[in-house]
Formats: sequence, structure tokens, C-alpha cells
Amino acid sequence: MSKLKYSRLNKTIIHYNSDKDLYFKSSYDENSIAALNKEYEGFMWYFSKNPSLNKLLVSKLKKRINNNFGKIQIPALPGKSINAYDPIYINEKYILLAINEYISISKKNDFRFHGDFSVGNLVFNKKKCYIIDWEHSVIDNQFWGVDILNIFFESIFFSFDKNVLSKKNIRSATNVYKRILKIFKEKKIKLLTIYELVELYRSNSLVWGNSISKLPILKFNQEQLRIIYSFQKNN
Amino acid sequence: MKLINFLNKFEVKNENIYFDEKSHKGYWSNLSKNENLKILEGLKSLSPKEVVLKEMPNLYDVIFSSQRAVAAELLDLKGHEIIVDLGCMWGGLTIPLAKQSKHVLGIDQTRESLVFSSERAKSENLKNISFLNANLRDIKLPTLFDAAIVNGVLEWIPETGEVDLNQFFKSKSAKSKTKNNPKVVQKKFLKNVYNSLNTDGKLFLAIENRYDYKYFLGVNDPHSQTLYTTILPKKLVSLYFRIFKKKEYNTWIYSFNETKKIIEEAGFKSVDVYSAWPDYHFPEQIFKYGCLDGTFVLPTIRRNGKIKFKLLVKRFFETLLFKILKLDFFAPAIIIIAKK
Repeated sequence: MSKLKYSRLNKTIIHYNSDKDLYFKSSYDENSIAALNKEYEGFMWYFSKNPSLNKLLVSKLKKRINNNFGKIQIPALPGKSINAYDPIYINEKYILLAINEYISISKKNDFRFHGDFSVGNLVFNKKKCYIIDWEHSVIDNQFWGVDILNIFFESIFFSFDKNVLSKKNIRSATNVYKRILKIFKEKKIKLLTIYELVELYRSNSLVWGNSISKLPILKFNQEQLRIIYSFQKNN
Repeated sequence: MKLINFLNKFEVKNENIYFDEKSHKGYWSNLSKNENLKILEGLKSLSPKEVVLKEMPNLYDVIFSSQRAVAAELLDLKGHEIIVDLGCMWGGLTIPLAKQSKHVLGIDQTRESLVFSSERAKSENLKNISFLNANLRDIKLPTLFDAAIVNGVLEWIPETGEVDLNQFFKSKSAKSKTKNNPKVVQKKFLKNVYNSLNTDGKLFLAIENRYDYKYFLGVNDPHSQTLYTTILPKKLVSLYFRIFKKKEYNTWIYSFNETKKIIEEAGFKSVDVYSAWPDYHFPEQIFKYGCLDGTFVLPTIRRNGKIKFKLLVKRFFETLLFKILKLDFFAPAIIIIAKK
């Protein structure tokens, strides 16, 4: 069985073949071909950090890229997708699993910035999760930990009811944030405020190209930013 | 080598356009002959993209958008294939396919379209494309292709007259009449395509679904600009055309099962059927026929930021038919990948 979608934003064709359990991504657009190349490199790096993935699966990662056309083949990783638009009190356990996975593969001097580290770009099974969609990934040490903040703040974005966070969402956000604080403290890395994070994204917009417009981090209104900043200060 | 030998039988008009003297008489274009002449004149000083932006900006995406070639991904090309694009027009698929295969032969009856496509290939520095000016009904192709493209072409095969699309819909008198039943002509053409393919060669065919739900809601058949022609019995519609339009109804399209049956009758063994939305020209989502699932994306209800009534109606019917009932029988377009 096959199904195929076209992303107008990324000018990329995404083809899933369930008989072979493979994804194919292809494009004729110069920028999108570059993104496919980054995605391939990202997966290569990620698979090298995941010895638990069997070799047969890893060997299915392939690319065919030239100036005019690019196509990568990605094996489907074992797990199910989760709705990224759910609020943090529903997705808390998934976010914590994601952070654990991220920390297990990211050393301070050997790390790759994913660029779109979202619940929607992960697949989960009972014990573990796997990271997919590496098309924005880059090697750049200034981004250490930014992915973790991204998944947290993105989930906060989907938790706001207008400009209000419910008690159960605040409770879950506090749990996740404590875990994040601990990681940054252990690694001795400065934790960015929401304002600093937004600025970092804006000043590095080339990493995301056209896709920058869809990042939830850049969609907070002023009041929501103030609420998040206050939350960070209080924790 | 076999392709070169085949093409060498024809007269060369341009470095990569060959000309079949026996069968070349034909014309099918969205543009009039005068408009096409303007395009050719423009190509002397402008690039193909510049000419289109100047002379026919509304067709820019139809010609240049790589979204045109989305469904061709289903061919699973590896890069070594020799492909024939039957009815290639302005190279909407020819050009993208050349970027991921060994060679593409584009065949079309309209010389002007081929001159444009040839210039387009040059401007993109693609040297692995040849064009043949020939009539698709008459041309006898050798058995040498790994894939054949029949994109929005099968329905027009029985139409033997010259087609300037805008005039074609207005015309009340038929310039030519088909002696055979259109389905017989279409099958004969498909049999010819079948014979042109190597063992394991693949056919890519895209066509509208006669039972597209929009035809029930008062949208005209795009091939005749007439209401309900696709969904009514073909004999009845033919009679209506002869009496009231004074011409033949030739542009037959079919349901999913009917299309599959015709292709099987042409000899193809393994026929995979897909449904496409919003159409096959610019597909955004394609599912294996009968396998519609929850990932189906509903159309937007806004245009330029404003909610539109027509789009609301469309969304209502697509929610009901495709999201809830999963009735892809009423999908807009059919895509076939068939193996020899």
C-alpha cells in the first residue's frame, strides 16, 4: 500500500510504502534538495548513536541527490506518532521520554541540532522513542539544548487557552521544566529565557528557510511570552 | 542505441526534435495557433519562463510547477530508465522526469509545444531529452521503453480533429468524426503503449474519475464543458451531443474499476490503482484505491483569508465522503501504475 503527500511549503513529495515500510522523500527544488541532504546526514548521525537499531533497518537509509533532483529513502522506525497539538498535561510523559532520548545521544562535543524537535517529529513505543524528520538539522554548538526547550515551549503553545494556562497544564509544565533545569545545571550550560530563545531563532532563520513561519515558538503573543517568562523566573 | 535507431527514421527539424511526416497532422493546445506563434516569436529573445510570464502568466504553474510530477513518484524510478511521455505538451512531466531517468522521449502532435519544450530543456541544461512530433494514434513505437507516461491524454485520444481548447468548447460543428467507439480507440492506443514497453516496463496513467463527486454537484465535465456528461450513460450523452451540439462525444472517461478493466484488457498484468486529490494535475495527496485512511487532509475553507461558501460546501462533502465514509469511489482523479 502506498500513500503520497505533497508539501507545498517545502516543495517536497513524501511517499510512504507500507509494504516495504519505507518513506521516500523527493524534490526538484534546490533548497528542498539541500534540506533532503541535511535530513540524510541527520539520520546517518542519529543511527550512529543508536546501536540498538538493527543493521538491516539502518542499511535501508539511502540517498540519490544531484543538482536537479533529490530523493532519500528512510526506513520507518518502530513506534507510533503522537498528536503534537495536545496540551502538555496529555503529552508530559512523551516529552520526558523525548528529552531522555535526546540527552542519551547528545554529548556536549558531539551533537547535532535537530531544529524541529517536536512531539510530532518523534515515534514512540512502550519504552523508548525515536527522532525523525531531520531536515533542519545542523552541527552548531551554539544550539546545545535548544531542541529540549523547543519541545517544551511548543507544548506550552498548544496548552494555552487564549492567554491562560490551566492548573493541570502548569503542574505538568513544572515537572518537565524541573527536568530541563537539572540537565542544564549538570551540563553547566546557561538556560535561555523565552525571549532569548525567540531571538536566537530569528537571528538564525536560515536554518529553517521557508519553514520558519510554522514554528510555534515564534507564534506566541506578547502576553503569552510574559506568562512564560514569569514561569521561568518562578522556577 | 535502439532509441537513436528509431528516431533516425524521422526527419530532424531541430537538434532534438524529430518529425514524423506520415502522422504529424494534428493540433491540441490550450492556446490558439496565433497565441502559440507569439510564444515561438518570444522564444527568440526571451527564456521560456520569461515568455510564459509575459504571454500567458495564468499557465505558469501548469507548465513549470514541479508539483505536476508528484504522482510520477509512484513509478519508483531508479535513474536508468528510458521513458516515453505520450502527449508531453510543454514538458510538465517530461522535464522533471528527465532529471531522474536516463532519457525521456516526449511525443506530441503539436509542433509548437515541442519547440517550446525543447527550448525549456536547453534552458535547464538537460541533454537527455528528445522530442518527436507525431500523432499518438498512428505512431508505431518500438519495444524499448521502461516507462510510458499517459498523463491526461487517454480521454483525448479518440478526438481526431484539431483541438484549440477554447474554440473546441464553443464549437457547434464537428470538424471530424470518429468512426469507432471511443473506448475501442483508447484500447488500441493502450495496446500500442503496452507493446512499446520492455518486460516489467511500467505504465503511468492519470485521468479524471467520471464519478468525481463534484460532477454530481453541478461542475462541468472539463472535456466537454457540459453538465452531467460523465455520470450519465455514454450512449445517451452521445445522442444528446449529436442532436444538440452537432458533434460527437468522444472524450470518454471512466470510473476506477472501468479504467482498471480497460488497462487490463490492453494486456497489462499488474494494475495498481490510486485516487488523487484535488486533481491529478497538481496532486497533494494520493492513496491506494480502497485504502483511504485518517490521514486524509481536508481542503481549506478560506481564500485570501476569507471564508468562501463554495469552499465550505466542498469541505462538507469531502468530510462526509472521504473523511467519514472513506468512499474514494467519488475521488476526483485516478492514477494507474501498471506493469507489463
